Amino acid sequence: MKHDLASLKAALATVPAVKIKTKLTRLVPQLDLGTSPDWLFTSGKPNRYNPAGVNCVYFAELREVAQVEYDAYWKGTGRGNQPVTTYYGEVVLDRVLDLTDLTTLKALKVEAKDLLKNWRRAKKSTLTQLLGQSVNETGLFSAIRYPSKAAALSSKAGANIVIFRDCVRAPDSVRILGPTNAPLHVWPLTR
Amino acid sequence: MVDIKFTLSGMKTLLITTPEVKIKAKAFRELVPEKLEGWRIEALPSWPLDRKATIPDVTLVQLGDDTQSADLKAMIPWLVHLQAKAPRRSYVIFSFNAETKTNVRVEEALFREVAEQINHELSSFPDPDRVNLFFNQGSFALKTVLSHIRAKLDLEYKVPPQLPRTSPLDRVKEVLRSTEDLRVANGNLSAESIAKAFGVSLSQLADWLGRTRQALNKTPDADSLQNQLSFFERVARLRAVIPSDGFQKWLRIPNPELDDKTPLDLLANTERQVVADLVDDMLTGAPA
Repeated sequence: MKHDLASLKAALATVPAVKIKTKLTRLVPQLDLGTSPDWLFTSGKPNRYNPAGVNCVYFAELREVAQVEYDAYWKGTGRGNQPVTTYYGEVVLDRVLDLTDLTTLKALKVEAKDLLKNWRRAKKSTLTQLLGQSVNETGLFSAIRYPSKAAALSSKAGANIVIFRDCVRAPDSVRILGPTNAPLHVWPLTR
Repeated sequence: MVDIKFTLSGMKTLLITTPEVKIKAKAFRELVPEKLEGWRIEALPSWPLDRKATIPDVTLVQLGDDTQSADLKAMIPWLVHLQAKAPRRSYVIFSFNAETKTNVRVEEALFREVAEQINHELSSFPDPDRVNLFFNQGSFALKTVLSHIRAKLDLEYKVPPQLPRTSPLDRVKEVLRSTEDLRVANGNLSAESIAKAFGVSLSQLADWLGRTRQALNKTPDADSLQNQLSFFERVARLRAVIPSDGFQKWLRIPNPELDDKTPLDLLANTERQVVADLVDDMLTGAPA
């Protein structure tokens, strides 16, 4: 099945949204990040669910999945047992596209295996990037929940979540948890 | 439906807008009297621009002899916002459409006044080079300008980036310290130091950069090399967390993220940004 942006946008309008209220995790090698790193920094760099220029952040749904993702990157480098920094994003998202749901995949005419294909060397936007672009441009959803490839390769089930900055609108929120009750960073951004 | 003649980068999007509260159908028809092939056109007044989810490739702001300075001023922040949100570079064109019946001197004075106001606001735009003025003298002129912009937009798909894209790590001192040894006293990157850090010969690196070994030997920190060497600096940031020998080993191991090519394979050709992005994701922990 060949997909394009227009057909994906049209299909998105037929797919139900799920609500997510949880604490997401990300692991980073331990580095001196300075006094006030921006934990929600978006460079618009391409990733699995966004072409270049789309501002979003990626998290693992669970600590265990974040660990699997981390280990996959650092496999063979001898970094496995070195210290890491863990940070958490507390999210309330009312409009999430759940690509771990087979009914959703069917409605989008997408096969589960297509979500796990490599994307880094692709010469044009991949299906998953087009999906992210469609979400970002339509604003129908604020995030995508998708199967973790690293987890699948480790014969584990697990999901990641990509959150699109410009689609997060109140009452949705993303709060990076800090040492006090005040979050370190928050979406939606205020003008 | 996407026109197959525009598969290189797809249809381009043109947003026609005006500082006025309503966009006049007659004025729109006068501006775009015939179909513009390869362009998807949308017409919107200025007030909902902040809610637009799709960022146009070109925003054409229609101005006339009745354009009020205050309306134009009020519109500028939305145009700035559109350009800032654009996934790729986005053009803003202010098109001045004077009534033909208007006295030429009056018309020139009005245009000059609007042009000066736009010049004054130019510094607000993230990409002022792509903010243009256009004195619309009919549909042929508009088609020519849009065709020229299309050619420039298409180029962005063909020409590899000259510099690595920005990274959250650009401001992390510990990461930047890890590549200080690649720089000479004036802050320039040195091809000689990079070759050493990556475990390749200077001849090999010269070949990758499209230079001669002699040229690299003579001025290893030449200004003309800096853009290309920046990609290597990005990759070498991995040494902030793994030792040099581990880094050199990583460069030579087939990587499943890179379709089982080694990072060095991709650095040798034009896929340096791919490796730089991978290192960025490793250091920022972005799940892929």
